[in-house]
Amino acid sequence: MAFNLSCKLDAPGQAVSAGSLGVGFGCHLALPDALYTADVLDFVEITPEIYHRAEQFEGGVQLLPERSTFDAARTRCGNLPVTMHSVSLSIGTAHGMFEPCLAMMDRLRTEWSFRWYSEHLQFQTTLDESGESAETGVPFPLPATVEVSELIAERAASIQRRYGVPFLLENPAHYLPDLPADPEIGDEFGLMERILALSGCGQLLDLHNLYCNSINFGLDPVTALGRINLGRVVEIHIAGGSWRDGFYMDAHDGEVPEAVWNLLEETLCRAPGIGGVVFEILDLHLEQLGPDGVARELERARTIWRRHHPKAEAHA
Amino acid sequence: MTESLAAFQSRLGRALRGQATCPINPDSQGYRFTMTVRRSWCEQRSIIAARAILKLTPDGGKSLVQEYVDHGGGLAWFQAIESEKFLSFLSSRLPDPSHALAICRMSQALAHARRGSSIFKPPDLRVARGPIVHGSHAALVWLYSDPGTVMAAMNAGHLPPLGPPSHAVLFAPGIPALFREATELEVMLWNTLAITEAPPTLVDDLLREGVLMYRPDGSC
Repeated sequence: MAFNLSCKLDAPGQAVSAGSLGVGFGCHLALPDALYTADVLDFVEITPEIYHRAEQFEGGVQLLPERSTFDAARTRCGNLPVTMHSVSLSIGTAHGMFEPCLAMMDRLRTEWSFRWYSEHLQFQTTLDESGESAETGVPFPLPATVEVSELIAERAASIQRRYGVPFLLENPAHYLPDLPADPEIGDEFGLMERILALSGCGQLLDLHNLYCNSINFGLDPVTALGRINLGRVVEIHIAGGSWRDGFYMDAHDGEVPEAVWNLLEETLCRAPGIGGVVFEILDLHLEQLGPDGVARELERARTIWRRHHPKAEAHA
Repeated sequence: MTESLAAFQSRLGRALRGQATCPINPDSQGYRFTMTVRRSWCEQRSIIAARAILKLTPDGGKSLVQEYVDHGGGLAWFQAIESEKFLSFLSSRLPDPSHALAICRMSQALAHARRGSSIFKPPDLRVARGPIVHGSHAALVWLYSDPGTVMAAMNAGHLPPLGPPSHAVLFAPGIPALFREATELEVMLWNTLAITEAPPTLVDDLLREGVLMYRPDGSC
């Protein structure tokens, strides 16, 4: 592969410059406006696909803005800073990323300023027998190989250049401990580390995903956290989950478990340069937690954040 | 040496379609659970696509969803694409005539008209451009009761008796709400495309709404 590895590898622990935002939350239009003020949160994380509809044309798929919800989301965010977190890029698909996602991001870049852009380190399409892209139905984690690290690093670096803001990769939750791996990469931790070192991009450290994988693969979450190069982490996700068939799932269905709060405390203590923490919950489960429950989770995250960012608190 | 990413993904994709051995141990608990989650996601996408229609079928649509997913349905990442596929599947399985099939066809027609609305431009009626045909994103769907009654009855969980088709609904990208009830004259025009026998103002109105359009190639 014609990709210059040496320049990036020279500075493997260098943090991506992204600025410090604080505690963020997704844009849930079902929740009251009152939650989306600087009194409650510091920034909003937008999953752009929610405000776009996919349409099939002869040449493929286009993601077109659903104007009413897109405009409502923009109004909802007001003057709060925004980050973008897409879910359809499939950055790990060998035959190519999902180009309509990039086209959507290209358009967004011109009309909605965002501080950084993140995606998941996974794939959700393969090629079928006729050479057409076929969906896998659920996202799959990537083999920890040299080839994968170089492919993803090249793509991630190009995305970071394309949008002129930090590009972050999120560690995924999954249930497959026995994926193929090259000895020099080792495992998913080694894969992420290698990609970030090669690309100069940052990590979105999803602590709930880390917690899920630790439980399901029999690891100690704090030991797993020790495998992360925190100097590369720009953003953290926290969320709730639930058990099914003996597996702990990244269900985004409620309150953050105590163990994940502890991991957040531990992470921010060791890496105060991290730019933001986002609490995630699916729309489907909002009613159960309620606006007050959401506000409680955000307040708890902010309390921990401020403990490690006294300057930001004084500024606020 | 590990196999290439392309080979790994190709093999995984074929295994997911039941056509090859899996590159991940298919007997592992983790893989089996991943398949359970995958199945659940596929079923949920299908149910979201047609919740109201499925409620009108004998077992709440469970067997239809199972059949669809068993044959590789429910995989689309985007709900709009999945909805289109599942509605197409349902339209070939629902009893004809039935309220469920009428609502399925309405859902398909509405999605089609919405898709057209992003590219639709009313024609310049000052320039006559040859033969007139059905709009490329238009449809006429028959209901067996007035639409308001059908919707209210769906919410209440019981439908009116199935009589003859009684209410025609037009769908087109230029109609402000994308659909409206059709008049008798419009139904006749839709069925026959006898343009020369219809009032010119009606034809013009239907062209502006995209219910009708000039044939793209202009030939007879």
